Amino acid sequence: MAERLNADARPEKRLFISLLTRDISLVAAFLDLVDNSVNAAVEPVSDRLKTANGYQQVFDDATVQPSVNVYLKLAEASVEVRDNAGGISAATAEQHVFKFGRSAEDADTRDRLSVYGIGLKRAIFKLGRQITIRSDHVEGGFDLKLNVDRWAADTTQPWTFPITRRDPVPPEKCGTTIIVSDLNEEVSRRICDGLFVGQLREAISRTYAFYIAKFVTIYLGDQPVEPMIVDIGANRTSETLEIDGVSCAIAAGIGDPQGGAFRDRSSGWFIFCNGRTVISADKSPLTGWANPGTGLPIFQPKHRPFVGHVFFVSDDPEKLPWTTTKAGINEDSAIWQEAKRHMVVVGRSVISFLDGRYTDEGTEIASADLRQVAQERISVLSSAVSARRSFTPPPVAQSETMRIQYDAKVSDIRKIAQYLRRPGMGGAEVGRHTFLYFLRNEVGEK
Amino acid sequence: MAQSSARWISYDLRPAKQSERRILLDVLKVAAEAGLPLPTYRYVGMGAVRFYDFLLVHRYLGIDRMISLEHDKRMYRRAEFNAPFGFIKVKNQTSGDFIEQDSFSDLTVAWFDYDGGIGPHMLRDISAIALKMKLGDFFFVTVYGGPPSSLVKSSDVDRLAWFQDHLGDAAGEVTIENVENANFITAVHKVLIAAIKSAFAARRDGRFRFLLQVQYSDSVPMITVGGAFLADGQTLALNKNLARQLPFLAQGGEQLYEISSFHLTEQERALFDRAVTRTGRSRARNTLRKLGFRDAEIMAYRDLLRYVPRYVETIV
Repeated sequence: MAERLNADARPEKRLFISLLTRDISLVAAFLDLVDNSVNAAVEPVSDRLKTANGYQQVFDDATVQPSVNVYLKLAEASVEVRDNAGGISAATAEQHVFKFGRSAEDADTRDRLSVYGIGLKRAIFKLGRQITIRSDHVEGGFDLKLNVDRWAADTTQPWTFPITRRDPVPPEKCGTTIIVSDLNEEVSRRICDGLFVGQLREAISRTYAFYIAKFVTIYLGDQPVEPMIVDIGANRTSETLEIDGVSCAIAAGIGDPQGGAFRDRSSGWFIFCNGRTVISADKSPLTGWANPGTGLPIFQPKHRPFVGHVFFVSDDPEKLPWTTTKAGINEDSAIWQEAKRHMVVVGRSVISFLDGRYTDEGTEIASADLRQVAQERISVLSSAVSARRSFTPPPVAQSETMRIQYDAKVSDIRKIAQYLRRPGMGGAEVGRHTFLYFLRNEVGEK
Repeated sequence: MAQSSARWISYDLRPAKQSERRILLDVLKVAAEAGLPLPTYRYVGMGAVRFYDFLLVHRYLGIDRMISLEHDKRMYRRAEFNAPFGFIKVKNQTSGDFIEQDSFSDLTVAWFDYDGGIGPHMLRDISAIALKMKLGDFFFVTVYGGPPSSLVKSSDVDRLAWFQDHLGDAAGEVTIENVENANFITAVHKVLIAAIKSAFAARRDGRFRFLLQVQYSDSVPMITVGGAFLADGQTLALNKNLARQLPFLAQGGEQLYEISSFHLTEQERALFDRAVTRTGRSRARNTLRKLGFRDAEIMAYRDLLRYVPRYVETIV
């Protein structure tokens, strides 16, 4: 009988760190840290946030006010993320927070944004090598001082983080501060590159649009982040579906122009999971575009008025079709595949109308007219909880004019202009003149 | 092609602009004292038909290789005619074309004084020049600090949208308050700083050191931002000299220094000169206060004592 051996399958810390941090962007890492603060902020009402209706009711509830501030400070040498949420108790830190992953027992039904139990670790490893966490809690918080390189070199099993207990504090003194210093070089460079802070601000603005001003105020540097909300016109197509404990509300309609123009950054599909924006202004095959046969057409400038919302809600965040970074969609997810089919159907009615904006006769529907087609603005949430409805395109107005367009030799146009003693006449003017000449002198119209 | 503003703006009587020129020259002189061989540099600017900066750069720094860019075809002939020195080469080129075609093999001081308000072409120039500059090169931009003509009548919401759509991530930190008329120069400043930082972020052989961030207004608000691309050792020496000789310029920060305009009589000016050059209590200072001048004005004059021009009329 062959000798049975046990091959060593212990994980290497360095591999874990590398795997966790390589595929997450720096922006997503910061959002991971903000997620924890926002999660804590919504905890008091998380029981009500199980359906789209629940989200709408909480949003309309005037007694629910922002109770948590999140402060992000970025510098070349260190970053700090601080909040005044409820903090993390020493017991929770000891038993759950620093595990890599989440067991079934660890899953907290109050979590709305925390999915896989790796966000905090992934973010701090991404950022740098000296980690300081201080959390104050009514039951006593904790301190952590971690040198990542030394921790990674320590092969002691099982893996642990060295935390020390802090004394209990009253609720108004609760909160968590995370400071990362000895930043990784690429992180330090990005923070100082002149654009990153603005990019992070925009990402926060989009991602937490629902949560900002209702649950949290988020400061980046000294400036609060304003939520970026993309409303939709009341004239829209919408439907809802439920798949395996996940509710999905889909709506497509006309967006809101700014400065008389529909903007690229405010058009396309917007995907929300438990109120968090996962995908923004998508115009790619991910959301069905560029698939003229069974999907939507290639997105073109004439489609810029298109806005689509997909609002996924589940009290089990793991069932939602987001990736582990929450910055993308798990395209293989059965829920997503089903939702995408419905998105195409819902979106088609609006796309067909927008495709018909420009015709061979030269008629077109102006941006100003699209506003009337869209009707009044409604929010993502209002759209998500509404009954099924269909986009109603306006009746096609019978135009009294038609465009005439043809090619003519430049030399012939110049001859006519010379004949008329107006050598600077352009082609369009020559065309109009000759048209009117025939109408008046041959047809007899005055 | 856009027309040059030199067609109708007389550069003769712009005291704040002249102060700005003199301060920029002083920054370059400080750099020379810190070891950078400024007289061997070439100067690239936009001299229009007056070439004021060219005159000063040669007189004060000894630079005698110069290029003036004039994009307007009709102004180009006048510019060529009016070039004060034989070593100034006037080129009928946009700044973008020049950056693309020039090798930048010589140590360079480049000062692009743009017509019109902030626009994507300036950011393109910044991105392009950052790839070509060598260690020791200087780069400054001057831009109109008010809204471009297309935004003058726009709402603040539409202005912010324009910034986001046309200037992209460089406008990431611009807020709606920044694009109000009274604060617009702040928006321009933020965009320029972000664009320059971003353009040089990929360079690993040195760092862009901001040496000058000033705003001024003779008739319209203007902003000048710039500095040098330096190795760490060069930066250290320069920092010390700047802190000593030009302390009013923010060192390493991102604050805009406002070059004040002073409308003083000769007698008042003499009083200011005495007040700011004497420490402790001063009769001149008290007299100024009695005349209604504020301490902030006195302090501002102290910063700019060496730079405020004096204009005289000569009868020939």
